[in-house]
Amino acid sequence: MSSNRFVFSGLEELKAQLRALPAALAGEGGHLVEGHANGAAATIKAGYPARSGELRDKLEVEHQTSAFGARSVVRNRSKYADEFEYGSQARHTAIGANRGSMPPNPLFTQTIRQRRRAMYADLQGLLERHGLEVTGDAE
Amino acid sequence: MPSNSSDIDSALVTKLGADAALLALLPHGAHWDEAPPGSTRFVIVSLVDAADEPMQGGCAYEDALYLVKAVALSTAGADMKAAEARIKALLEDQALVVAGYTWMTLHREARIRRTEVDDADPSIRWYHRGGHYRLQMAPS
Amino acid sequence: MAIKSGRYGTVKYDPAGVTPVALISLNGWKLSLKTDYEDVTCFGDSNKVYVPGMRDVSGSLTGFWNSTNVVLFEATEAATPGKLELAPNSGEPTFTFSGLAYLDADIDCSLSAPKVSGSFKAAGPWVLAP
Repeated sequence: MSSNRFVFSGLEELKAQLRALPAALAGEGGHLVEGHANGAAATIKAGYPARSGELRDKLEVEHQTSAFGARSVVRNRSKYADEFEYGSQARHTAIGANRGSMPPNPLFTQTIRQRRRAMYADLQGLLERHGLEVTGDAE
Repeated sequence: MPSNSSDIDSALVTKLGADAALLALLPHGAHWDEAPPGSTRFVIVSLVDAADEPMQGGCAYEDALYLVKAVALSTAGADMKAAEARIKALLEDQALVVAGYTWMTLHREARIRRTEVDDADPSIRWYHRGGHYRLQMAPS
Repeated sequence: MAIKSGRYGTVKYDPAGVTPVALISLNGWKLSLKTDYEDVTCFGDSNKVYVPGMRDVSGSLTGFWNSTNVVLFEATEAATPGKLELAPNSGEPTFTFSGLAYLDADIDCSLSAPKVSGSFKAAGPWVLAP
């Protein structure tokens, strides 16, 4: 009978690391997602004109986290948000002032898209730091 | 010929503004960001987002998202459904010829449809219908 | 000397193994020069001791599909190794890693620009110039 032996050392440590991986990724990943969402909101807020303050005041960020994921939503509940984003035609304000037409200003969409790209790059870095190989694109 | 990104913008506006079928629906033409005062039926083209995809030694391709929409005053009698459909037919998977570039793709990513109501006079309404169009062009 | 950008890196290849010519539409390369180590720790040593083995030269390339230059894919059919030359920055063209190599390739065609990747392994001695 053969007396050869194969000895794998470090398997218990590897198993422990793999079990902890989802929580570790969720924790760090959640911070990244929140950070980018908050940064996007700050950029958008700073870019809005400050007249009545409606656009700035109605911008909000909502964060949701769980053991396995993170989700952040940036939204603007102002009734003027669409007009600012997509442009408007000759119009009057509620007090009758003629504001004229306004070209589209995709501040919100552009900022969110730029931040999302940066977030995907950071999330890729996070996965690679945990020893995972990342291929393909997020979108 | 060296590539100039603004030529892409101009080519989009020109293509939409030169189409007889679209002009019949929206006679005030296609414009970048804003139509001239007094226009009541027109197309607006605007840049929403853009990113250059790099490669060693240069730019692999320019990736841009455009807002392209038909805009009309509610009392101007525009057929918005037909206008949006004509815009889509002119752009969806249709090559755009721009000096200094090779066309890669042009397609709609999302629809846009909204009604803009004047604050002081609610009878003044503007219809907006169109979409976000993804255009990728590689510098040649 | 200053730190340079990898944006101006180059990858050159010659299937005949003589004078490499630039592969186009690439956006990255990696070179690994890992060496195996053997543990020769003995009684009385105050820490682990190693001796190096052979250097293992290998790496990867990434980029976009461009039908005007399919050399990378042709290289996957080659029965003999070609000469591969990697430069971190074309502004310093004399600083290169080069040697004979076998190449393989992948292409990922999705709804965006098709992405190309490849890997290589040394088929002869590699040198860092100058």
